[in-house]
Parts: sequence; C-alpha cells; structure tokens
Amino acid sequence: MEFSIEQILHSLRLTSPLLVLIFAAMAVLVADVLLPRAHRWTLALIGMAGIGLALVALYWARPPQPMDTNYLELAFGGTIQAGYLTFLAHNVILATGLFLILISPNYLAGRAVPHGEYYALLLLATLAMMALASSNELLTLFLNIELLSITLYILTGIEKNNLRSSEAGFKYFLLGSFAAAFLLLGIGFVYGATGQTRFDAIGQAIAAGRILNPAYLAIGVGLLMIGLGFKLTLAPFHMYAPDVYEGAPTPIAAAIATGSKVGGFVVFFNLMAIVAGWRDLPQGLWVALYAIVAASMVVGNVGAIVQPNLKRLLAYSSIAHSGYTLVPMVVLLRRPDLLAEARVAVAYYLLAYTLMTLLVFGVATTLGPLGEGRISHYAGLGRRSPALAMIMALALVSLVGVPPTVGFFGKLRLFSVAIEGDHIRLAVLGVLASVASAFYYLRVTVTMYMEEPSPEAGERLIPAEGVNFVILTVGAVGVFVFAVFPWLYLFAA
Amino acid sequence: MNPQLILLIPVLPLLAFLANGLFGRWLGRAGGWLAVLCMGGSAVIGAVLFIGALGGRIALPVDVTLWQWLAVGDLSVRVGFHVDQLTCLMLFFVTLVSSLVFLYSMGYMEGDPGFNRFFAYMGLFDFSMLVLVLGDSLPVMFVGWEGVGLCSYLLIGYYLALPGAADAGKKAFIVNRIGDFGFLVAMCMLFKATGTLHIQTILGEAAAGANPLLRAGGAFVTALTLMLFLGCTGKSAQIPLFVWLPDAMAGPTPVSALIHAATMVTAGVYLMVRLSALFALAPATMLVVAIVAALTAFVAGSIALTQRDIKKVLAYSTVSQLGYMFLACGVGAFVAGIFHVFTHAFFKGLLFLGAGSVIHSAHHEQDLFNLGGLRRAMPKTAVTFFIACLAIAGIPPLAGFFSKDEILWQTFASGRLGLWVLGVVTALMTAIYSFRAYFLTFEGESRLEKAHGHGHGDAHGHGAVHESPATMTIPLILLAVGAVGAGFLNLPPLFLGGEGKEGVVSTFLEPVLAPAREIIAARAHMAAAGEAVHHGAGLEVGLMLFSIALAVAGLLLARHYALKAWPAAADRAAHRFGSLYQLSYHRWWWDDFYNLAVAGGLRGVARLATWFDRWIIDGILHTIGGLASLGSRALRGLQNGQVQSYALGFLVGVNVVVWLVLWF
Repeated sequence: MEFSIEQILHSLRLTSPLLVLIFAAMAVLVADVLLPRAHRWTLALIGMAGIGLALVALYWARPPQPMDTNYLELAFGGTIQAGYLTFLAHNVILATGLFLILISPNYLAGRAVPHGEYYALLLLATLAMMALASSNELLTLFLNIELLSITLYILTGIEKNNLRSSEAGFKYFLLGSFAAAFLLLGIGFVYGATGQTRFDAIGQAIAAGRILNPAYLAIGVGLLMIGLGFKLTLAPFHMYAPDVYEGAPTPIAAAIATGSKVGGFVVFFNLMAIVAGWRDLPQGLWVALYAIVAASMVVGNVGAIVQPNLKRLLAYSSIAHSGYTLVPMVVLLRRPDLLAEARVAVAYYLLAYTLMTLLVFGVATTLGPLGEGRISHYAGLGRRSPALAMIMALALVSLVGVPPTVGFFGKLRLFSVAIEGDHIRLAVLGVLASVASAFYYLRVTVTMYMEEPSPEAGERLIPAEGVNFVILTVGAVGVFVFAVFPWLYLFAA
Repeated sequence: MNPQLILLIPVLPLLAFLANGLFGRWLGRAGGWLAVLCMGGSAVIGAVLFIGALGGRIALPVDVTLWQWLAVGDLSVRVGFHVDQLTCLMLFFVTLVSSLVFLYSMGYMEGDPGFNRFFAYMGLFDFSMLVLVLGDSLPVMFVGWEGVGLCSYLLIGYYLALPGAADAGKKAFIVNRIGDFGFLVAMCMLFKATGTLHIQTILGEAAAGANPLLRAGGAFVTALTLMLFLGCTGKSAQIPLFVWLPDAMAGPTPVSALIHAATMVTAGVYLMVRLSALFALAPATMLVVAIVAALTAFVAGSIALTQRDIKKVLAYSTVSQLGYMFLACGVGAFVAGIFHVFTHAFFKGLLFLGAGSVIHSAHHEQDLFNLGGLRRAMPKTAVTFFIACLAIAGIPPLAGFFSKDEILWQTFASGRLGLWVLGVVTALMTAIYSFRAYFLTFEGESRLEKAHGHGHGDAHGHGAVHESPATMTIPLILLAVGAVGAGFLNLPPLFLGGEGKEGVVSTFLEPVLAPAREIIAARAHMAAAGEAVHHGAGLEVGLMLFSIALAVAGLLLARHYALKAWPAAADRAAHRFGSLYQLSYHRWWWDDFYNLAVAGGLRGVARLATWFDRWIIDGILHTIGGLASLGSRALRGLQNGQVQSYALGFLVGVNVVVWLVLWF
C-alpha cells in the first residue's frame, strides 16, 4: 500500500491525542527517574498536563461541525477510524483519565505503590482505551485490547504488599488470557470467512454477500462477542469482575469499570453495525446476543442484591449496565435502519454510565480504606460527611434511573430504541431490572442516612475538602446538566 | 429588543437562587443585596419590554427556542419561550412587585438565621413563576407550575421551629397536588386531541375549529377545560381547593406578599387567560367557572369580615379577589380578569407589606383586637395601608375601582344577575373588612400595652412601636403609587368618550384574546340571531355610582363598628347575628368538613389499602424478593474465588453461544 505525505499527515492529525498520551507517559517515567524525591502531586500534574494536551489535540482533530452521526474518517490505511461515536467516547475517556489522576494522589498517600509506574500506566491505559475505540481492523483491535489488558493487569496488582491486589491482578491476567484466545479464534474465523480484516471491507463483503462460508462467519462473530464480552463483563463471562474490582486499587477498579468498557462498547457497536448489514443474518447470532444481554441484566441485578461489599456491588452493577448499553445493539441486528438512533443512544449512555459510576468510585476513593470495604461502613455518613453522602446518594439515584438525572434520560434513550425496533420484551425486562436495582442502590443510601455508625467506623467527621471534593461536585452538577442539556455532549441531537 | 435580554428575566432570579443557595454562608448580607439587584435587573428589563411593547416599538410575539428537551415517540418537547402581549404584562408586574418585595425583605428578614436560605428560595420561586409565564409549551409551563408549588412549600414552612409552619406547607403542597392532577390529565387530553403540547399550536387548532375533539360545546373539550380549571382552583385558591391559602400565612410576611400578589395564585388566572380560546369553546365550563368564582368571592369575603388575625383577613381577601378574577373569565371578560390580576398585585402586595411592617414593629402581634392606634407611630405604613384599602374597596379613581367595576359591569352585561348580586354584595364586604382591618390597626386607642402587659421589656428591645426602616417603607410608597395609578392603564370606554374606544390594556391584549372573543361572539350571534343585547351608557353610570356608594357605605360601617362604638357595637352585632357570626368566624367550617369527610373518608380507604398492601402486595413482593435473594445467594455460591470455576463458567457460555449460532 502506498502512502502519500498528505495521508500520513492526515493520519497523524487524527491520532494526535493518542500520540500526545504516549509522550506524556514517557515524560512521567523520565520525571520519576530525574526527580526521585518529588512531591506526590508532581507526577500527577505532569499526567494531567498530558491529558489536557490530548484534549486540545482531540479538538484540533475534531469532526467537522455541525457533527453528522454518520461521520467517518480513516487513518493509517484504514486500521484506525475516527467517527461520531469514537469522538464522543474519546471525550469521555479523557475526562475519565483526568478524573482518575486527580483523585489518585490523596488515595496513594501512604500506600506501597510506585508513583511513576502508576501514573505512566494509567496514561497508557487511557491511551489504550482510546485506541480501542478507534480500532477499525481486527488485528489492530487485538493489539489495542492487549495493550489495555496488560496495563490494567499490572495496575490491578500494583499494590505489592497487598495480597488481595496481587491475587486480583493474577486472576485478571489468567482469565484475560483465556478470553484473548477466543478473541483471536474469532478473528481467525472472520478472516477466513471474508478474507478481510478491515471493518469497512468486512462490512462491504457481508453486504455484498461475498462470504466464503456463512457458518464460519457466524461462529467468528459469536467468538468476537465472547472475547469482547469479557472486557464488557457480560454474563456469563463476567465472573472475574467482582474479585478483580474488589482487589484492585479503587481508582483502577473505576478505570476498569468505566473507561475500558467505553472503548469496548464502541468496538462492539461498530462490529454489530457491520454484522447488521448481513442480509440473511443467522437467527442464532441475534438469539445469542439477546440471551447474553438478558442474562447480564438479570445476573448483574440479582447478584448485587446480597453483596455486603461496595466494590463487589459496583461490579455487579456494572454487569447490569453493560446489559442495558447493549440493548440497542440487539435491536440493531434485526433493524439496521435504526443505526443512527442506536448510535446516539449508546453514545449518550457512555457518558451517563461513566459519570454516575465514577462518582460512586470517587466517593469510595475519597473515603480511603473506610470506603472500599463493607457497605456497613457507610452507616451514618449522611451526618459524618454530608457533602460526600449527598454526592453518593445523587449518583446512586441516577444509577437507578430516576428523573431528572442522566441515568434516567440515558435509559430512556436506550429503551426507546428497543421499543421503536419492536423489542418490547427486552425493554420491559430492562425496566424491571432497573426497578430491582433500586433495592440495592437505595440500600446504600438508607445505610448512609438512616443507620447509626458502627463502632469500628466511629463518629469521626470526614472532611470533604480539597481536589476530590471539587471534582466530585463538578461531576454531581454534570448529572443534572447533561440530563437537561444533552446537546452539550452529543453536539447533534 | 434583543431576545437574549428576555432570557435574562428568568435567569437573574435563578442566579440569585444559586448565589444564595451555594455561597450564602460566605455572602451573608451581601447575598440579599445581590438578590435584590438581580430581581431589580429583571424588573428593569420587564419594564423596558412592557413599555416598548405598549409603544409598539417591539414587535410581538417573540419566540425563543432554547433546546430540544425530550423526544419520545410522537411527543417532542422543546424548551422555548413565547413572549406576546399577555406575557409582557405578566412579566412587567411580576418582576416589579417581586423586586419590591425583595427589597422589603432586606429589612424584614434582617438578623434572621436563615437569611440566605430565604433569599435562595425567593429567587427560585420567582424563577419558577417566570418560567411558568414564559413557557411556550404545557410541559415547560408545568415545570414552572410545579416549581412554584415546591417553593411555596419551602417558604411557607420556612420557620422550621414554628409548630404549624410545616403542617401549613404540607397542606399547601398536598392541596396543590390535587389541582396538578387536573392539569396533568388536561395535558394528556390535549395531546390526544392535537398531538402536540405547544400552546400556540393548540390555540390555533382551537380557533380554527377543524379538530373534531375540540368542537365548540363538545363533551371532550368541556371535560378537558374542567380539568384545567381544577388545576386553576388549586393554584389560585378557589372552591373547593382554597383551604391552603389562609394557612400559608405561617411563612414570613414577604412570602405571603409574594404568593398573594405577584406569583403563585395568579398562575391559575394566567393559565385560563392563556388558554382562553379553549375555554371559550366550552360554555358549560365557563358557567361552572363563573358560579364557582362568584361563590368563592362571596364565601371568602364573608369569612374575612370577622377574622381576628390581620394576615388571615388579607388571605381571605385574596381568595375573594381571585374569585372576582375568575368571575370575569367565566363571563368571557378575560381582559377584565387579567387587569384585576394586574391592579390586585399592587394593592394586595401593599396590604401584605403594610401588615408585615406592623407585625415587624409590634413585636409579632397579629391579632387585630390587640393592635390599634399605630398611625401616630408609623405614619408612612398607615397612609400607604389606607391607600391600599381605598384601592381594594373600589373608591375612584384608585386602581381597584376600575378593574373591579369592569368585572361587575361585564357580569351584569352578560345577563347573569344572580352572579352580579353576589359580586356586589362581595364588594360591600370588601370595603367593610379592609377598612375594619385599617381602623382596628391604625386608629383609636392602642391596645398593645394592655395585651402585652406593662413594664416589662424596656431593657429587652421591647421598646415603643416605631416606623420600619427605609428598606421597608420605600417599597410601600412605590406600591402605593401603583395602587393609585395602575387603574388608568385600562379606563372603561365610558371615560374615553364612548363606544368603540378601548382602554390601553384592552387594546394591547386584543391580539392575544381575539380568538376567544370571536368564538364567544360567534356563539352569541347564533343564540340571539343577530340581536345584540345593548345596555345604555346611563345604566353603566348608574351601576358605577351604586358600587361607589357601596364602598363608601362599607367604609362608614367599618368606621362605626371598629372605631366609634368599639368594642360594644361589634359585640352586639356578633350577638344579634350569632349564627351568621359563628359561620363566618369559623370559616364556614370548611376545614372541619374536609377533616371529617375527606380526610376521614380517606383514612378509611387508607386503612383498607394498608391491609391490602401489607398482606397482598408485600406478600407477593416478599416472595419475589426472597426468590431474588435466593438467586443472589446461589450466584454468590458460584462465585467461589476459584479461577478454574470461573473459566468453567466462561466455557459454558462459549458453548451456549456457539451452539445457539449453529442451531438456529
């Protein structure tokens, strides 16, 4: 393939946010070596500057305005793509990265975590999430997902003298490799069936009916669903999630739950959009995805009910929310004409889900060792730290999906697509699952406001000040702002 | 005028809310001044808009669409503002009276521990009201409608330590919910009929008459407008939902002034005038409105005659005056109705702020029988209060005379003589109760000392009664100017030199109200087969003189009972009309009736529902919950921490997916 200078420059421009992040990660490592006795904020500040520059680069390379939901540009010979969903996902991921770096310094204080590696890996993970969302080719997809996984394996186990952290990292690594095998197998099948690895080329082949063996393609797509389903904690590939979330340092659990999933959702959506163009799509693929989505909503919500640990509860909650987010993609397989609606609905939910989940993780991180453990430790938080309890309650109410929060409008959009696309039963299941979720989310709220603090937690007032408080407040305001002004994020309505 | 400036009108009070709500602790007294400044800014823009529109320099209507709010199925709601002549008029007096109340509150609330909380609520209150007035679709209006309800709840229950305050707030909220139910049902019906909730589109369809569901006189439109009117009776305190307003007195007095004069209670009248074309299609509803309104005016007026609490007198007076406004709307005189809203805002605001001024300096004494003789100590309050009484009693040429007389005349002209008699009797009672309040408070001997006992308190700031500070008297004086002069904005044709000439406000509002007028005129035309009923100018002058005579008679009666022969004559009268007096004093036992019949009946239903809930619903739920818990425990059992079993689960999933793909 021939590249002209223009093409290379164009490709570099589209990928400039990623390049900036690579340099930022290197800068953190170099600074760590050069300034061995640096203040704990120094490295975080370099990381923040990197993300800030990446945001600038993102806007430099932004899609033409006003944005079209079908906008698509390719880079580096079609291996990388920039589209509407990708652009919005990049925004969310960068904001997530910034959030995580901001809440980390206070969390890491007094823990045996090497700061340089931590921030560098966090930046690399952010880069990998973005790259994953940009993938437009099967092998690129695999490379990106591995880059993301490896950084997250290390970050999960980075707390060396904490056995749970190491155990979580190791489990994540073993099961992740297991899942990667299926992903590779799926890539092989799809390549074998279509002779293509680029998404757009596969899409053209499928649409034109140039399929060597429909059964291979169906199995290949099924295996890709499984491989990505592991990243997205879809049932029954979710089982690692509660253990890993519990063991990982809380900001890292937040990254696994939000940013890494955002990248995964985008790829999953792009793949399903391609497969939806298959004129005689095997019924089984739709049934399988339907089953996975329904199972995720049920398992996530049922599993969360008896969790005594907040991070495990959030793991199940994130399983359920993955189910919700995939509802439009199930619909898409039957109704490819709803592509634009489904894309906007998913794009909006990426933000909604990330925002709410980060707020809960953010409060848990701010509370330190007290916040990471049992839910009963939250008893009386309403009095001990009114501001944090308020933010937490707001995020939980939004996770339930109560208006006028982003959680409500996000679910409204997702389930509207299902209803428009004649998947009423799936929508009803989703709504019922949300109703059930009110039980365990509100249980935390009840604990915070209506139960007396346990003796071990004590009556101690927890000051909610500093950076954590400011950024959590900003996020809490966002829960309302993005609910009322969705176009602030979606640009095109 | 730049449409962005119109946006500032609601945004500025919102700013006051945010500043005081979020940073009140640090702002302190400056937060109050900021709120006054914001509200004043709104008032200036409102005045510029109104004057510009009056002079025709601003082309109306102006539509400002802000953003797409939600789109579900066929329903699409944009957040947008519609500014026409009616909106301008409302914006003008709402912002003006509110800013004066804000300024007044600076003095009244000084030193209150919740100073910033108060101003935050007030800002939100005004913001909601302005959204209600500006909204171009029913859902946006409903946001304001509910916001006003919420803020009234917060402000009525503002004194957290006052035992009755929380109950009063709750009562206001619950009673309003009943009305809101009517509004919601009406909204659904309108959506069914027209497929949209955009007000101007709905009004256009109503005027065009092509929609089969909105046929003139049809059952659907009658039911729909009755539901709307139910909403109005909640917000605007009409029978049967007026009971919350008198209890709303538990809030600080500036709040009462705001609720009664500028915001909240005028919302119902505004809604009715805004949707006048719909109401005009349903003559049966109009009749119901007129009857309910006349009865409300009469009942509330009669209650106000004997109340001892000065704020209660004023509260029932508001209910009674709102009855007048709806009476006007019910007989099709929408201009007269909205004009009475306009003039009423000035003199009722003035009455409440005057009462607040008295309460503020008389050590929170609100019982009329314990006041008296305050004119010497607080001349400014007394004079302005007297002006307000003249205005509300309908003494020419003050504001109330023109607006109320127009309503009575229109009622008479519509041929509903029974309603007219009720209106006239109410007019007499209005004069009596307002001057009774004035004389008992400001004239005669001071009874304050007697009531509070002598000698104590000299050292504790319980000093002599004194005039209120300038922050409180300046709003009083400005409102008094309005109470004197506002009536000239809409002189009846009689004063302008005959038929065909209309007052300023009538001409101004003509474009908004023309559809309703035409619908009504078309019906009258059919009924009378071209024979318009025509009353001579002589009759109008005669009736006008009659109502002036009534007002003066009311003044003299009040003076006799409250001043000359106090308290002997009043006691004698109370004895002679024993049962009537009891009826009035105990507010027609309206609240007791609700307690007994409605609340009692509800309690019975509630008991039944509790039983059903406890044994049937909870039983089902506990079963489901138990099953879910079991499932959850089972899942937890699978979650044993072994990587091998996780991988096994994974493999099961892979098998299921692959076999599903291959089988189907």
